[in-house]
Amino acid sequence: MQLNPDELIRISNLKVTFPLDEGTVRALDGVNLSIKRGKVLGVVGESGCGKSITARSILRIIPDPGKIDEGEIWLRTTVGSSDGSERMVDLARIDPNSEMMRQIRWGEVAMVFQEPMTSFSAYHTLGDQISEALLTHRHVSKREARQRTIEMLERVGIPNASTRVNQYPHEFSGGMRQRAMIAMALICNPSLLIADEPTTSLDVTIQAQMLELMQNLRQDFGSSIMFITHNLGVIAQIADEVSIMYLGKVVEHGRVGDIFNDPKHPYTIDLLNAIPKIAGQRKDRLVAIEGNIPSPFERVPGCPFHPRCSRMIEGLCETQAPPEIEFGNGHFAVCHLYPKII
Amino acid sequence: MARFIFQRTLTMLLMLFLLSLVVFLVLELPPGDFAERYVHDLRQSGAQVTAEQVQLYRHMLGLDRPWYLRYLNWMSGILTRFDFGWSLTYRMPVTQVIGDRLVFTVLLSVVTIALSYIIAIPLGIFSAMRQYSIGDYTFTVLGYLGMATPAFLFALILLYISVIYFNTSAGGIFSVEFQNQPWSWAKLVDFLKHMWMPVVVLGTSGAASTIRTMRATMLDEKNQLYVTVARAKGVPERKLIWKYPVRAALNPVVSTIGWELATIVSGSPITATVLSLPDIGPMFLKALLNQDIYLSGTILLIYSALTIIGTFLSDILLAVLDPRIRLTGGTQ
Ligand SMILES: Nc1ncnc2c1ncn2[C@@H]1O[C@H](COP(=O)(O)OP(=O)(O)O)[C@@H](O)[C@H]1O
Ligand SMILES: [Mg+2]
Repeated sequence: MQLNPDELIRISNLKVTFPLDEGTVRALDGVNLSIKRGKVLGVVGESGCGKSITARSILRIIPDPGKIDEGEIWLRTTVGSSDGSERMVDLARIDPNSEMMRQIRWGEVAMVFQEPMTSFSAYHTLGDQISEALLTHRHVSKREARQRTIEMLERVGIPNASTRVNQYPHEFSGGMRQRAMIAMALICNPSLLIADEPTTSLDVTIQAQMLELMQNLRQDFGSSIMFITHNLGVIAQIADEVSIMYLGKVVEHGRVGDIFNDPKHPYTIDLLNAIPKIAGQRKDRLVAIEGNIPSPFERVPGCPFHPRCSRMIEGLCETQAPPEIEFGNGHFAVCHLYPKII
Repeated sequence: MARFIFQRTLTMLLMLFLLSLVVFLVLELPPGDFAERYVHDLRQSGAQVTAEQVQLYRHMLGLDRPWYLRYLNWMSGILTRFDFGWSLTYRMPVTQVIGDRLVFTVLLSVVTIALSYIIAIPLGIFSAMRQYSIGDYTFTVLGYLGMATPAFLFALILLYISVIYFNTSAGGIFSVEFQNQPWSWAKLVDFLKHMWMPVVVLGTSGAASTIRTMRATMLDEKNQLYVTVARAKGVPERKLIWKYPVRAALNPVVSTIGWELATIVSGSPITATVLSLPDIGPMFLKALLNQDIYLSGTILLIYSALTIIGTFLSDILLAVLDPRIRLTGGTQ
């Protein structure tokens, strides 16, 4: 498998299951996605569709007892090469406890988690936890690490950074902690930054500030970003491309303009209609999509979206898996609605 | 932090003061006093004692003064001269009566606690990190046994085993031949041979519950998001376990050290009786029966003071370990 020259990471046919006593949860059921160098991919879908598990698969930190059953995660990396040349590794196949994986974690792929309140240890100062990332991956002295930490904290908009660096997480608000988390994620200048619903747990005004911050940082750092959200509204501001996920699969992918102006998958269309049109009324949850997500233990035959689809074709959608249809410019949808001839 | 320690110290001193007052009053409560008991005993043995003689005797002992004066006198002696008063039955200063035994009791308790933590904490961590392994199951079973066996029964079993199978007399703190001998290498070895048993008996149940607590909190903590974040950061596994979940799991364990001290000190009398150790317990009972109030008062005071001091130490340790308590001035 070869990555295209402009690709940083490509996930193909990724399947992750959780074997539980009550049955097997198919968290990811063949995810395909790819992120280009220096670009922002928005990953959108309702809660439980597998966005976080996809992200965690890249870092190989899926919670127990989850495991990767199938699929590949190819990443371009300089880890393990003496001359700084790039090579490609399949993260799905390497040992998660290997030295290679350890160096890729945060050295090349860093992640901002959804819950800023629990992402930091209450017993260590923020400065300690942030500079730890730098000390783990770069050859710097403790003093340099501290200095860089203060700079990063200032960069993400934390006032009095040189005092704040010695404070504990509980002395920071949720928004400030998430800023600190972003500082920590960028301190090693990773080639890929995963932001897993970084603003979901924050209130609306702070969400807007965070998005602005992310956009500024994006220009300065040049990392590729995988921006996960269940709110299509924020995607328009920040993403270059969008992948829409439903029940452990990517059902539509395309450039942000194509997704917004010419959505193909009925699910994407529903998502777009669910964005409140009046400014300031932006809700935290997707509303107005009919029906419920099936239980994760169930295996829906045919197209996973058919029970909720307004344009379901009887006799086809509930029996046969839909094909992947390409519409040009890398825009594709996995749906029975479009005859293959296009 | 300094303010927090200052506050806690003040609270502790206030508690100690109230405690000493209560102890004194409780001992004053029963009708009669030492003089009466003494005279009663004299009369029983056929001696003639007049009321004036009783009064004189009482005056001599200072028992005719009002209680608050005697309390003040007692307290000032303790605070200024470390003089806990006069034992009426032994006819010597209380410190002399209980000094050795007190040192022994406290030493035994401290060694027991230290050893049980040193052993239990790593075992708890091990059990949690290797959940459902053979080692984990073994420690779990041993832990429940340890918690469920009463100390005195455990002491009897160990005594039986050591006498029957190892042919040693394990009671007391020295073998007969070393009693009243000056300290020597051989005597120290003999001492250690006897000491392991009370340490094991007194420490087992505490160690067992420490293993359980440590294991449970570790299991809880190691799945917390901040641990995953540290792992995602590429921090080596061994380092991150010790730095994050262990650190968090130590808190509830450390916070009980103070109470542990109290339990062990007060739990030792029964064990001490079974193992014939020179503990304070039996002496306390006798002092109470004889209304030897300075002796019983001192023992009661020390037992309770250890509890208060233990709690104080726990509070301070917790604050040192937990930045949230440190900065908010503590949860009441
Ligand atoms: N620790 C876990 N144990 C069992 N199932 C899990 C666990 N974490 C996630 N899942 C399952 O994986 C699926 C995807 O979850 P997730 O990736 O967290 O969704 P989201 O898109 O909201 O981030 C869900 O159906 C969920 O039930
Ligand atoms: Mg999620």
